[in-house]
Amino acid sequence: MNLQKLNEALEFLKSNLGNGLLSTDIISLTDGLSIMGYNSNPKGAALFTELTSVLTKTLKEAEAPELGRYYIIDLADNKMMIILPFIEYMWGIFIDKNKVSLGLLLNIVLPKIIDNFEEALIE
Amino acid sequence: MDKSINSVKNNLKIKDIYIISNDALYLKNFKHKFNYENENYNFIIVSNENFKIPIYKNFDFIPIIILDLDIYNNIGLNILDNLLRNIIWYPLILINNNQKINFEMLEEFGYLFMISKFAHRDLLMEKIKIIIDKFNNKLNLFGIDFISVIKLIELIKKTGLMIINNNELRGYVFFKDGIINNFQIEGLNIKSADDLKTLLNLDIRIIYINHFKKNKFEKTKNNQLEYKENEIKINKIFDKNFNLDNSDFKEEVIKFYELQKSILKRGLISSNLYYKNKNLILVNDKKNIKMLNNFLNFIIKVKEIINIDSYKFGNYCILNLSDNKFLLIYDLETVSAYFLIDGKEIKLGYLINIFIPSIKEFVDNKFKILGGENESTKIK
Repeated sequence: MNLQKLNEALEFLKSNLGNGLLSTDIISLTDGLSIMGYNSNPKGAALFTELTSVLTKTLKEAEAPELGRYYIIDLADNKMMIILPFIEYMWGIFIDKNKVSLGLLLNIVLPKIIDNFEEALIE
Repeated sequence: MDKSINSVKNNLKIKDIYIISNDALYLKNFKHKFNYENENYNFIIVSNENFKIPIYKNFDFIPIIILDLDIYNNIGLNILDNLLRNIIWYPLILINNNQKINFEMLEEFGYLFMISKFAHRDLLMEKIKIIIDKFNNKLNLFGIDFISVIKLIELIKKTGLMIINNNELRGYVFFKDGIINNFQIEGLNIKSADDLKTLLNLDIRIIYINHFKKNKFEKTKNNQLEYKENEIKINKIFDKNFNLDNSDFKEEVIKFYELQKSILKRGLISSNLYYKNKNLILVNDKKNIKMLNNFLNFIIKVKEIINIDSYKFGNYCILNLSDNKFLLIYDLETVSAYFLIDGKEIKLGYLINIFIPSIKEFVDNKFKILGGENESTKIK
């Protein structure tokens, strides 16, 4: 794992989302603990881990294709969770849609951090 | 207002009129009539195979394209597809020989300018009346006889009227006094030229045409199924012909499917809907009923998990799947649904900003009213 690259990806996320980024954690799926984050939320980290586990199981049972690079959960009060699972890790991002341009997030930030995240983990 | 639209409005110059048809007699008559009656236009008459889309560098000068659309001829459809892919602002007139009226096609095209090739106007109008009656005035048909084509061209020239023969882009675009009037897409109101431009950039029409081609070969089914599942108690399942007793509800369900289809076009791979208040599933894709069932239960679990951290689930969950598809799981007060979407056709931003608000608005306004209280919903 390239921690430097991971850290750069995290900084990129923070700088682009500003105060629209409520919290984020890069989590190990083996124990549900955060290895890096911003406004880290241990409870949230466990939550992301559990969600991903349920989702993977559901997709399998539904005989649907496997999960790709991310999934998004819309939350009340104009908030949103974006989860990027990759190998044994997962990046959970919790945002305030009132303060984040979704266009910027979906078209620019998300593709870039997904690439960086995956590159950092396999290096 | 968009500069190019102003340009069209103020400087509309039409000289080239492309007539595309493989019908030799029709072409001969067309050429004869137009050459005889009007010398101001440059008529370019080509067969389907030889047509190349004309490229004009600016909007000061635009052609009119008249496409003889024979639905049994894939080349004609491919031309139409290419036209809509590449040309946004060229006035396009689709013509169809009234001897070959195809009801499926008319249902797909909300607006159709029918030009009789051989019949007299009276006969044409008679046929159109039959169609209008059949579809309870849902279609907007304009009967135009052979000679009147020239009047239509004059109308386009005078008003800047763009004729869009497309059920989803339902309506006209007028550039009257710089204001766009009467342009509405199901579920989306276009209030300005900028809105329109934004929308057109989303390739809506490209998707539509292919959807049309695909649907042409599909037979409708009318099977009613009984379905029992362990985890979700479902009273009945209906296919998309909706053998429902409540006619108001049936109408709304059909509209709901039309809405999905009109926004997602060929990007929609499959969808199934669980209508909580009626405790029934409305099936659009029988093969994937199991998928709906699994994802309904997934949403229940998501809600439980999220509540642990005192968050509250919103309305939807979008999964990016490994084969470049999206799975949108939607959960509202009265309706849960999933939509399997082709990621190559539909962008995530479009899904979130266009599709989701449209279906939410529809469900909130329609199903809520029709559904009544939610007492019968039993999800174990």
